[in-house]
Amino acid sequence: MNVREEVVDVLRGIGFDAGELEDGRHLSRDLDIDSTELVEIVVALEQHFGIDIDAEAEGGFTTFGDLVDCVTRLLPAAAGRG
Amino acid sequence: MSVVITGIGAVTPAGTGLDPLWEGAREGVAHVTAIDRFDASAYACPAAGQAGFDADAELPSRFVKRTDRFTHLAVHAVRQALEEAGVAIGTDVTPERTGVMVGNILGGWEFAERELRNLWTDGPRAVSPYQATAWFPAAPQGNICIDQGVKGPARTFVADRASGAYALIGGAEALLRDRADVVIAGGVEAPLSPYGWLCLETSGLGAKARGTLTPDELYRPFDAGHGGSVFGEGAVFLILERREHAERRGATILGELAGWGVSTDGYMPYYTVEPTGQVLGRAMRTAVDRAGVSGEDLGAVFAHGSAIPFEDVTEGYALHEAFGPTAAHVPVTVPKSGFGHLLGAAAPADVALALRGMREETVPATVNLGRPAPGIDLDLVRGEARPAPGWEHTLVVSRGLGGVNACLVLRR
Repeated sequence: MNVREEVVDVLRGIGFDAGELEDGRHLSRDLDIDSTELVEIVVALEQHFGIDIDAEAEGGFTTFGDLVDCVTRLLPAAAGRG
Repeated sequence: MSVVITGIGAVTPAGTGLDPLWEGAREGVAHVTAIDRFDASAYACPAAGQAGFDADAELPSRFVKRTDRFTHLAVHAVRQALEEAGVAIGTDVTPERTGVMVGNILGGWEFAERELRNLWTDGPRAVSPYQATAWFPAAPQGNICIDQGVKGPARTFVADRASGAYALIGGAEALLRDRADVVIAGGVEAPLSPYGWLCLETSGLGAKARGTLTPDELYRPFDAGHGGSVFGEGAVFLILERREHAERRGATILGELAGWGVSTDGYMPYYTVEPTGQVLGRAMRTAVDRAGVSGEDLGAVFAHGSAIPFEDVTEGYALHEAFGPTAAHVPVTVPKSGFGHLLGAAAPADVALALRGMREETVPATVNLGRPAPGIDLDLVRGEARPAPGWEHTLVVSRGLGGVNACLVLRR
């Protein structure tokens, strides 16, 4: 399973349909995600991948693709820590 | 100017909608069972009115995960009520002229307990970010407004077991002051969590398991064996409008909220009530006066009937304070012993049942009322439902800890 599929899987676990999760989908406009739900998503991704996401430093996420990119970027660092 | 009811939505231990609740009350069906929602073996009261409502089947999963069961029950009941009333907000009434009034007592403890357990076992980051917005008592109100796009006056009333009656009064007053054209008003409670249930037990309000009584026999209003309430979960919401507004849009009018009265008689110790019934009686009389009728015009009283001996006795005194010798001849009933005291939703449930009862000219009986308690001189409806031709007015009594009294008069 690649990172993108795993991110989809995590979001399905918190109520999303796999079909609505496409890279270009806007988090608030298309997916109706508010700041509280974004916290839930970030924590779920952190726990699943064993990474630390500094949502503020990331400058905010706009699309679903941004979440996938962020996890992809942070994963090697997490692996390196081990 | 009068306030009428044009829609009713209910999710109760009897099922979804008013029909099963009414049919159960009319037939004296017991909807109280042994608690299976959580392990209640260490609790004094092992019985409850449990609603079979499956939120995952009825509501979107992303909504269910961020809200407590009391919000699920409320949002679903409101959708039904609006559908029955034939009101679509934004089409039949503007969002700014629609109000929401909710009665609730405990808040959303099912959700909160789970998250507090996460906090103390796994730390702050294990707590759902929805905890703060899922738990607080105004959560159903906010979610109803979001779900229905309401932008008018909205409020939550927390007044112990009189909360739901206060919400209906709040709705009627918003209409009479011309703050809204339609008000969604009612109450909700989801007390079936280990902590919520414990609070009800330590408050001294709950019935204790005793003798050979089965779970459905524990709640015994006005019975010689009365020993407290058995509580239940549920949501009951009504659509209120000014009569001319309802008539203009051709709505079916289910009845009128014709009068109301409130009073306060806090008494020490705080878990007791004022012993003469005089102050509660004043709220009853105010409600009847406001409706422009008198005790003789009441076809029935839907009593609060908590089955707490001191409350039962003083409720009887209050009826005599309010109506004198007439009080002994008005049929008095407590149908809630069949499905559980719904706390924040208790008074709205009584209102819904009274409206249907008046239409069918049948007073439902008090379940588990065998031998009346001594010293309560009332015409208690027990055994079977009683035919009531020409029944035009009902008094609904509601009261709570700290001395909150709220009484309503309904006109057919």
